[in-house]
Amino acid sequence: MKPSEFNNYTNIRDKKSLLKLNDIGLPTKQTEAFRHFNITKLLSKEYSLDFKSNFCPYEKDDGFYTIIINNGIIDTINSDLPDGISFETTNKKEVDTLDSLYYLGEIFLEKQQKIIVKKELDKPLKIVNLFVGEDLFLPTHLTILAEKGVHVEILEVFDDSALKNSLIKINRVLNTHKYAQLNYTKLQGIKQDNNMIVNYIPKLKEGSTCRASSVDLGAGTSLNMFDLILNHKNSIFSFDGIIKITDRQKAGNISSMLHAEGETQSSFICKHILDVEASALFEVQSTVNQEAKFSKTFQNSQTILLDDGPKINAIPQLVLHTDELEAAHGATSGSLDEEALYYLMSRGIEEKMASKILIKAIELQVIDTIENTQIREFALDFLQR
Amino acid sequence: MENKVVKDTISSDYALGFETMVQSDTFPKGLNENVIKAISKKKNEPQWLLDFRLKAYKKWLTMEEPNWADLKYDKIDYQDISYFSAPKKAPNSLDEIDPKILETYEKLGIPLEEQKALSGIAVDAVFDSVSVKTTFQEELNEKGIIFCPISEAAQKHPELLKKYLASVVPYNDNFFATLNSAVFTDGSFVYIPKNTRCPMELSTYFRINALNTGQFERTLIIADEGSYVSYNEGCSAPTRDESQLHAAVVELITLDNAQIKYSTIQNWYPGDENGKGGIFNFVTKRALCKGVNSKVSWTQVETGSSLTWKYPSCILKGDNSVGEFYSVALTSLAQQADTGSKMIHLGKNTKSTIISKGISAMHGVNAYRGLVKVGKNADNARNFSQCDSLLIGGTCTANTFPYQEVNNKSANIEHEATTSKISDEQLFYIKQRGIEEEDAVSLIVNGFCKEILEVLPMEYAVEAKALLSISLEGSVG
Amino acid sequence: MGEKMLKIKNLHVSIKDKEILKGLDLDIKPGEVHALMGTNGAGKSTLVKTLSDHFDCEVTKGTMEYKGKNLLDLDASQRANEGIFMSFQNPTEIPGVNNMYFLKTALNAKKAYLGEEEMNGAEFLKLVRKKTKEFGIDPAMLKRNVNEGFSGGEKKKSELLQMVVLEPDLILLDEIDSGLDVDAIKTIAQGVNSLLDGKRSVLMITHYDRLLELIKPDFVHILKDGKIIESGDYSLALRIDEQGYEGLGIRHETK
Repeated sequence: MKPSEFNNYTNIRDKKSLLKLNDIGLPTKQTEAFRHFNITKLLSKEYSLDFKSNFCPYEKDDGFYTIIINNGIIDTINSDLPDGISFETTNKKEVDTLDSLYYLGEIFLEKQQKIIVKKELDKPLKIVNLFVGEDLFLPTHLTILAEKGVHVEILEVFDDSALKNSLIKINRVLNTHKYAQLNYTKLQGIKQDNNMIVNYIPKLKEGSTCRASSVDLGAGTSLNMFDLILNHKNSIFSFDGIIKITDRQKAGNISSMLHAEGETQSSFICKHILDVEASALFEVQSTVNQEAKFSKTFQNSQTILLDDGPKINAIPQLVLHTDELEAAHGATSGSLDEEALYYLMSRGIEEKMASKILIKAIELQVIDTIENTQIREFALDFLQR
Repeated sequence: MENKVVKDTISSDYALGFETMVQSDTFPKGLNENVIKAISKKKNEPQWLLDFRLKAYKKWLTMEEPNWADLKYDKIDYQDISYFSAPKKAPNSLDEIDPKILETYEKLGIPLEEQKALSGIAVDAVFDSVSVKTTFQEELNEKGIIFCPISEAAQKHPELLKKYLASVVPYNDNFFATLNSAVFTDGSFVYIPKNTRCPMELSTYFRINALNTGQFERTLIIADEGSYVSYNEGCSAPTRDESQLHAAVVELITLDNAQIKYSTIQNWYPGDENGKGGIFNFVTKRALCKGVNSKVSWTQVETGSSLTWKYPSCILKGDNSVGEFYSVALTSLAQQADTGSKMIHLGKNTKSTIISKGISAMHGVNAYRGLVKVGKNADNARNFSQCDSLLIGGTCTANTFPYQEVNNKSANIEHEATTSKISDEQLFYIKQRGIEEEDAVSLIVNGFCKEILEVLPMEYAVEAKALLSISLEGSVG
Repeated sequence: MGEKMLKIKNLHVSIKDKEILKGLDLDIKPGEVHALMGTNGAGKSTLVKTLSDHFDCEVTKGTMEYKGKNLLDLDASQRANEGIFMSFQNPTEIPGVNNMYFLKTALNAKKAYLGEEEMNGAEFLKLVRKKTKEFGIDPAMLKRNVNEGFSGGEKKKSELLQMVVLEPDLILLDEIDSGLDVDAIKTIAQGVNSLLDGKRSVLMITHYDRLLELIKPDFVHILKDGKIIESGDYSLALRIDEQGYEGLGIRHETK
């Protein structure tokens, strides 16, 4: 079946999502032309939905509690289940978003998987996604819930060594209850014959904080979409990302951040390091409603083009309906700082190495925002690959 | 925020909202091929120009009104507009111009007769659909400079017009430009010969007077190699309850080492605070920096119109060419503006600067929309963009939509945006120094726009400051 | 190495299509200290930048030979590893790059270039401790990012530390004394002098004789309009100090 022809598919598991999907529709040609980011092609390829989850043991890292998700299904046998965490598979709770790609994943899923974190853990949680198969469309959903006042550290990684020519459709609801903090880091380095579209829906209650960070190195095409509504006072959302791609890879972040309640904060920052013929998209919109006084929103896109082939399309957008706020955005594109490069070379460091040092310094600005030491170290190692 | 003070301060009467009683020759409402043929005939146009109009009209029929801008308005009924209106007496010399029109221009602050003596600015005045008088012709003629109504250029300089018309904004460019190509009535035509520095500021004043009339002027400026010209346009319209459509096209072309400085003060009637009336201003302005080392600088102060849809752009084709855009856009009452600039870098070592200042007050909606594009072969392109928004009060809207597309590693592209408001502290401080509220607001606004006002020709800077104050002024208390 | 260190012949250099050096000749032998003086805009900085392959400087004519090698064949890092060190007039700030890591990378790059064994962390730390102590440099500087937020004096001391760690053969000093107090200038001079073993050479640009008193030049050259117009010994510097350039018949460059 072709995901773009979802209407012809007979075995829809979630009719409500289908209605929404029909309502909103997939991104139009016009939208994609304007983004210079085409996923229609990806969605109109022929995929199979016939995949199985064969649970198998996984070599774990002692520094983390590990949760294993096998072809989208939580492996409750092999995953760690420390005190304070529970898994649930429940009937679906409706999620309201304008991102049709969220529903495109949901229509094939009958149940909703959820991890509930009830108290602070002594180690961060590592979610390992294992994928097996060929030419698959792989929809997966996980809601992560941090209960009231709980501080949760999560790292999500992907192992696609046994997956070929597939499209992974990931939905993540980051549910942060009152005064809770959910820190989430995603490190994606999958093979270029696989593609990944992730929809994030952060939900923040009063006084809560959600800090997301992401590193995208792999995939033919990878797209992160955020739909955020800050409708509770004193809630804070931040995103810090790195897109470091080469060849003909494509990667992007599309984010909508709506401040509907006062004293809320959002920040969206991404560093793009592009080589050969890679292309990247940064499309972020902050909207501050008239009621959302004393809110703060910040956006920044920085792009380093390492060659003449790569392309960046940066669209940072502000829509402000009140004057009592702080809002700023910035975007820069260019090559590495010539003076800095020269200074390093004048001390005997050859050009390639000097470039590497400067790129690393840019990456560090993102990695340093990761609060948890283990996850930060893991991310550093990941970037070294 | 002392809301009342600010509200009072910014609600003002439209000072130029008078209507001139002149006998005018106005076409019945509606648009079809016959109307276009009639316009063309009125102007005694050559066949190729009529063909151009008809081609555009056919294309226009297949196009849809764009809806991507951040503007909300009732659907425009294009059959409910008259596409041509002219003062009945065709003027041949200044003496023959209807005294009422002259009076109008005097109210606008451009007494045609005195221009010559006082400020040394050559003026072309467009009243509804026709150009009524161009001053300073003889002195310009001596230098070989052509500055005349575009309808006159069709008669006297057909080869230049044919070569350059629609060479920057093609007939099928966008819905409004295509409409303009079909029905454009008048506007200015300027040609500056090689190595000539235009000795005076050139100026056009546009005035919509007749009821239910659209204005579709078309301006074409060609700066030949090594030449320079500074061109200014001003606009106004009477206060009316119905909205009126203005869809202009401006094309600029600079050849090697040439420079055009184009300044606009747009003060069309803005409508009332409920959004009733006012001009719908859909304008396509584009410059082609065709030659090496050529430069185009757009400066605009936009305080009028109920709707503004306008993106003065530069196509930087020549190596080392430079594009600049300096803008102040003020939206108060229920005004909406979606404006900004496009800088398309194609040549090598091209440079562009965008400085945009948006001011929103009351229920005004102000959007900056801009594109900076660096093509694959545009080595060493440089752009700096800065978009600052000033919000006055808690009911207005300020939006920023900058687009950056970069496809060359030697580029250096930077965009910054900030937002600020007039704070109670600022107002209090200035008032403490003995300055009244409304003056305090204009003081802050003038400070916010300083960088733009500085690049305007001097006489215009004074006018712009006054306009900003008027637009924000009212009876305090 | 023989008798040659640096041999510049008929050097023409342009910056952004504007010719700055217009046929400059200069010979520096091992162990010699040369001072380059002249009014602003004469091309002094351009010469040292050109020797260090700065991207602004385009050599349009002439030759530069260093230790028998054609400098034009070597890029900035290769020249550094061959032993040319330029002390920047205004060292570049590099946010996010740790100073210690930077210095170690630079030292090991040179060792690798020369086919020597690289230094491990412990050895390097020992070396750096010794040098910072010897020249009274606050080791806390090494924990910060390269020149980031450094005061003018700190930047120059950081340049000095790099110099004494990298032990270059040809030291180019671009107004290293500008904006420094007497004590700081003494520290810098002490560093430079400690390296002068009779084989290493110095080419320094300065406006002031204070530095020349501390690092005595064997030769003084006056640069005007892209050419050396007069050469002499230390007494030439003294004459300039007494009479000024105008006294010697040299006017300030007019643009």
